[in-house]
Amino acid sequence: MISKVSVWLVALLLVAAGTTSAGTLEDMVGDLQPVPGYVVLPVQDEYLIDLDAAKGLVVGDLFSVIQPGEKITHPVTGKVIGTLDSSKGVLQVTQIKEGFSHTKALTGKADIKRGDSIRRYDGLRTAFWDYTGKAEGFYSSLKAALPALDWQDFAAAQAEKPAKPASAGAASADLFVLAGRDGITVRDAKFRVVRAYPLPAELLPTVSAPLQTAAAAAAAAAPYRLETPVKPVASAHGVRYDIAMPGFQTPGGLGFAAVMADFVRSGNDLLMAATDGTVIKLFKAGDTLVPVTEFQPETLPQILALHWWQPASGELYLAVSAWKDNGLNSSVYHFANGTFSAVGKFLPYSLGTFDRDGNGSRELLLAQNFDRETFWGTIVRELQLQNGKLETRDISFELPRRFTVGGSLMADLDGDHDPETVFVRDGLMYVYSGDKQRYKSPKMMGGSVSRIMFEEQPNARETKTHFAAFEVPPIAVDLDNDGGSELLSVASESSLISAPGISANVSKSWLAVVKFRDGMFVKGTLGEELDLPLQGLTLDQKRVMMVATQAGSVFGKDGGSQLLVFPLVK
Amino acid sequence: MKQFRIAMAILIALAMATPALAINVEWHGDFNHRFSYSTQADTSVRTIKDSEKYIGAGGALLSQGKINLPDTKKNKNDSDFFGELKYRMDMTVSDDEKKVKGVVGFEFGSSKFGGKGADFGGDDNVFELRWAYTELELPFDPASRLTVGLQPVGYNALLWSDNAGGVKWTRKENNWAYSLGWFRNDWNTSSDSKDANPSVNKSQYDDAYAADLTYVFEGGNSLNAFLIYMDQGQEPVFGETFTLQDEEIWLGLAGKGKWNNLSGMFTGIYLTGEVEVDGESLDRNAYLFHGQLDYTVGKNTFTLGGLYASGDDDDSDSDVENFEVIDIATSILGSVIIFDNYCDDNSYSQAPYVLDQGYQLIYVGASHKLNAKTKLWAKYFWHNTAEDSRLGDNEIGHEFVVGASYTIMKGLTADINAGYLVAGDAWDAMASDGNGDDVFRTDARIQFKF
Repeated sequence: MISKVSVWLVALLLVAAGTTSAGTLEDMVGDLQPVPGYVVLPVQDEYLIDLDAAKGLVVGDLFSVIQPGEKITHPVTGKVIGTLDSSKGVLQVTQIKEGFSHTKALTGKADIKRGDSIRRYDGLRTAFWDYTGKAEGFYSSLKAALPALDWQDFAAAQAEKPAKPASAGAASADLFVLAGRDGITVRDAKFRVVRAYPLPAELLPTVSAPLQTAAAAAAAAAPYRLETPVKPVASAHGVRYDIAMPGFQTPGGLGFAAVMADFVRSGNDLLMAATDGTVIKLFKAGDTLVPVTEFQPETLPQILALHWWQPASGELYLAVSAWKDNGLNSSVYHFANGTFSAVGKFLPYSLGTFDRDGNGSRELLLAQNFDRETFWGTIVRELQLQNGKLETRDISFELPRRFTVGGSLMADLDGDHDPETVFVRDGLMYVYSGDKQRYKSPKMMGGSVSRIMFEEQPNARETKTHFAAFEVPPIAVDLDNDGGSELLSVASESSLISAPGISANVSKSWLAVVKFRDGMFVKGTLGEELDLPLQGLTLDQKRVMMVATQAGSVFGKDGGSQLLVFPLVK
Repeated sequence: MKQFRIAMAILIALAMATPALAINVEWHGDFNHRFSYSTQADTSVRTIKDSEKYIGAGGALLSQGKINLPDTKKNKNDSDFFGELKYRMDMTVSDDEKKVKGVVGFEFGSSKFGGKGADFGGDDNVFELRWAYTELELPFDPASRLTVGLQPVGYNALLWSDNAGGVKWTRKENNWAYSLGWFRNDWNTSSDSKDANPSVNKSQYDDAYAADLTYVFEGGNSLNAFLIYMDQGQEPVFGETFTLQDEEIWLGLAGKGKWNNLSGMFTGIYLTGEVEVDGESLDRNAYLFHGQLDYTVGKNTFTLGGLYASGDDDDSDSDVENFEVIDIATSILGSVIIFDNYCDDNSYSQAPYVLDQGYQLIYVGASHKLNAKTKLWAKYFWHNTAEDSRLGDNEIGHEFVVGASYTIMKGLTADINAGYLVAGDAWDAMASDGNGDDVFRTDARIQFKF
């Protein structure tokens, strides 16, 4: 009965509230609806209940264990119209199986037994903490739609809430609902996020307030704000970074259509190496783009990627992944005194450089073997310089099977001081800890024009054709000055139907942000969309720098690239 | 044609449905137009076929079809020019991580301009199915893939590198890769006969069982060992005059490597088995060796290579000593006059031998990368058969080849080459008057691959 009333009530509220807040309120009411069930079996320290995901359960959901009370009998008809039940304990879902779920007792453990009746989000003491200053109306709607919860008075809850969202210490409630600028979260008594929702439009900060003002007022260290999560929590999509794009600055053109560019800070200079697949150019990237030198590898390979490598302080090398005669033919060049000299040639690997120790320089050079079917082989070695020559070494850490040295980085994203492995392959971004997958993005990451088509058996009468793309490596930067690194990556949109041997088919590009928050990775965007592929990316002195490439005609004419810069703080 | 339309409709519908199914569709193509001129066009018509058997038995040369050696004497109207098209497309449907792929491949052609499929009006059925297979990563073992259907078999390029229907399991783990495969053929296509006896049909299928093992060394060099056993059922051959049953076992080792400026590859294959011709048992005992070294200095690459395929020195004894391939192309060698060239399927020999006489070949070459888009090369070949029992001499001749390639855009290339064969005594022996003429041939192509 309550449920039906709630639904009608919510429907009315939604009409009243308008469609902008409808999604969040509707989702919350649906997710927090009471669901009845039973304790099936105590198992060691846990209790099995007869509900599963089909009933809308997620890990973290809370249940009241019902202590049946006195029956309420109608004085005229004599019918039992209800019972004066109370709660004798609270269970929290820890694992969901098919047909049943595991729970643990948060309170009342001694009294819970097989056969006890339970109800989700029923009778729980609930506090609503508003950090937006505008959520009282939303609270009222929510309270009306979820009468089974034992709601604390709004004003009292605001008076008790900490200045910043944080655990209340001793549990002052069984359930907290927090409305903050990051969105709305539902948390348990230990302040762990159970569910999360985007902020309804009416609770968003005033649009007319320019970002710069908000940023300055908020904190100089956070020049943009964490905005609306797009989808509820467990889907791991959601946090949206937004920044008012102050308009690109264009320090200059590269003079060709770059297929890959990479940046490194050397003393006071930010150096950018770029290639159109044939020639390698070096620039100083400052307020203007200043050419330094250029050269063409003598064996005329097809250059696919280049990465700066800094094996020792003050040393600068360029690792160039290239293709020639149906195989990889890569090189490593030492850069000194304005010139490049080869220290390794004819390397049958793809090359990538990494900053595993997090000191800001990429000290690790990895080489990955070529696989004639998948391109990216499963053998990865470290290349080290010994007496001026490159030698291979085994690596001392685990890498996932799908790892690619191109389009990848290693950085500590979750604060455990152990770097995660991040790579973009086939449009997906993966985050791994060792060989354990932590995150896989939707298919929109990368979108590079640096790609190679190859035949599985070049000499065979019949052979399969494959292609591989060298993506721009994501970068790990602390965008919001919270002490943790976010991932900034090129993302793009392209058709699912493609002829990859002809073009990358990128219709638009943008920068995606992936952040580790509340125990999971969430995704958002930074800045505006472009209609050009992005072939280089860095963040230097609070400026995002990227290389946008206009591919030109199929005959290679009229293409070009521009270095685009926008500051994070205006 | 109706079936083709239905297939296309299904594919298009599938492609349109991709967003809902969260699958990816990739198209690849090989659009090939080629042109050829030869002073003796009758030497450009698949005289020696890779799919053919040449078995000397009882003093005769047996094969499935009729053997037509060309007259190497240049006669009136021997010179000819043709243009031809061969369009290939394949579509791969896969999940985001490419754990499962479905592949369908077609070929339109080959059609000579003015011939079937490429004459005025077109409108001819020149459609061929090349591939129809599903490849999947095994859920319980990510290192394993299973390929089922009509697929490129992927074995040694000098033994078996065409398509076949069957099942192949491959596994790659660190430096090792290995595979097992089963494929089926019907060499004489006698099982296609509608009124054939089903029990006979079964015995006439050719089952091939293949295994290979590859080790990839540090630096990408590799060794590949392979074993292929083919049990060919009883087949009527040579105009159904003889019944032939063939059991063949190929045991091979191949490798390729690169050491700074030097790269090389080799293949060694031993063929054994037993052939039964009208109840008489003949032992197979043959081998092939091919090796090539390439040395690069700057923009120049120098090549030295050789090939030896054993031949049968006596077709009346109880041994069959000539090497035979399963299904290959000989374009790897770079000859214009004798082997597959830009106009594949229009060569004198699709196999690295002539009849049952085997082959000896030495070649040297040089190529120069003029710029990022242009490559020039020249090659010299000394062609000989391994045995002279059938032609009276070994020497086919000396061939000189020059060529140029130009990349118009990514995937689109224009190539031209020309070869001149100075006839040897074995070439002379194929002439109607015992005096064969030199041959000039030039091929060109415009190829768009994506």
